[in-house]
Amino acid sequence: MEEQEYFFQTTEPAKIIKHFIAGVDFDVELVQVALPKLYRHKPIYNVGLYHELGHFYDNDYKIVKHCLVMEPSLKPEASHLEEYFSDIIAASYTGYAIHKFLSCLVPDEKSCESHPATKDRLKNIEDFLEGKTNKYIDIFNKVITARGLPEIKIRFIKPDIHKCFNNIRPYEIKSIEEVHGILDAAWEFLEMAQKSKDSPWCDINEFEIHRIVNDLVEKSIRNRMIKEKWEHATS
Amino acid sequence: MQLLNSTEIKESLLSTDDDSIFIDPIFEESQVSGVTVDLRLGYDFLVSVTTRKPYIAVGHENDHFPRSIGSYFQETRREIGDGFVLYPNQVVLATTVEYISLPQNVYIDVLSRSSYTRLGLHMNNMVQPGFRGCVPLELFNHGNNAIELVVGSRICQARFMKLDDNNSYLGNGKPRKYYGDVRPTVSKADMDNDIEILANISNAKNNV
Repeated sequence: MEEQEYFFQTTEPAKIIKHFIAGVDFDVELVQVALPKLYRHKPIYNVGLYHELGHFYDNDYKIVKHCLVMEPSLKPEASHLEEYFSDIIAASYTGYAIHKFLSCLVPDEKSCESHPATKDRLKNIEDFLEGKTNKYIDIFNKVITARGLPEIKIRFIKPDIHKCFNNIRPYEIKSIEEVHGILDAAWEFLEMAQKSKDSPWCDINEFEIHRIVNDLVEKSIRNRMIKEKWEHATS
Repeated sequence: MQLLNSTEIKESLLSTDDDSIFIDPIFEESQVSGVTVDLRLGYDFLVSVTTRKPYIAVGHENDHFPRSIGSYFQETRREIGDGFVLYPNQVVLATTVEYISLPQNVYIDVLSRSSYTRLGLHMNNMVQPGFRGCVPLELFNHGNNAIELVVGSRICQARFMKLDDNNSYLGNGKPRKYYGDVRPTVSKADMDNDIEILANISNAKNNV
């Protein structure tokens, strides 16, 4: 049961941190997002956090509210618009990783009051990643342009991790865009490894393949973080 | 069998061959010197804790009150530069910061650096040819005083031994329990095949 722990209490993160660490101040707004402890060592499932970040962005800049002002006929779909918008934000950073995550987590979910059907969410993500537009992407872009906010565009680079991961070695991440993009690359790689009949994957069971790919992603990201800290301290 | 010197180790580290020595990250070139490579204390720890059950049972088959080995350890994380206090007689599982990949004909011995042995910290580990992962470190403080270790400090050293023949790490039907680990993992002694055989012997004896 310990593995399935989930605890979340809404709070003001900056206020709490300032209370416990004297002298700490922030010139940026902190965002509090959480996901089940079950995923703490499974970074490829952390793409859900990008979706939650999309909700924060929407709440802060009132994107969907402005959409409804601009297009009142969409009012019955207000909550669905929020989900579509957050999915697009997630896709702009993680590409098809959020698509594969949804397909894995809620493959056949029907439309309900709060969320659109999974198939519609997936179609929306596909449209965005393929550079197509639809009525939702169209209205989001109109609001964002009208408000002078940064455009929603692809903000990741998908690295080629095959040579490293096939040799069970972490990938050396070269940019912040690759930090996001490695999630997309890893989902794709995981699917390949699970079907592979080649060494080393043919000698490893499915559960272990899943663990190893997640661990290689985590170590690739951690190595970049600690190298940055070291370089900062020594430069 | 041949002990590799720093020139040979550096040559292998620079090689793009899939079966070369790989260590990442290496913060300073000076980590490779003489006949060893200094390795750094990692940021994830599993700290031994006591529980309501007074012992860890490895032979679970005969146990009427099973409890996982993992439940005797508490997971905690630090950041590079943070302190970690190791108390006397305490077992703590950690790893190196460095992720290591060994060729099929090279194994390493991992030993505590003299500066840490003098504090009461003793490590002695052997890593098989072909291993992938962060090197597991089983920390134990033999002294009377607690030691505050610094995460990311050069705590141990590896010496590289080259064998005459390759030795496949995976395959050959050999189960590998700690392959590709990037954080400390609790003992999987209870998964050893011989534990099951021994349980069968014990059960047969008790049923006579």
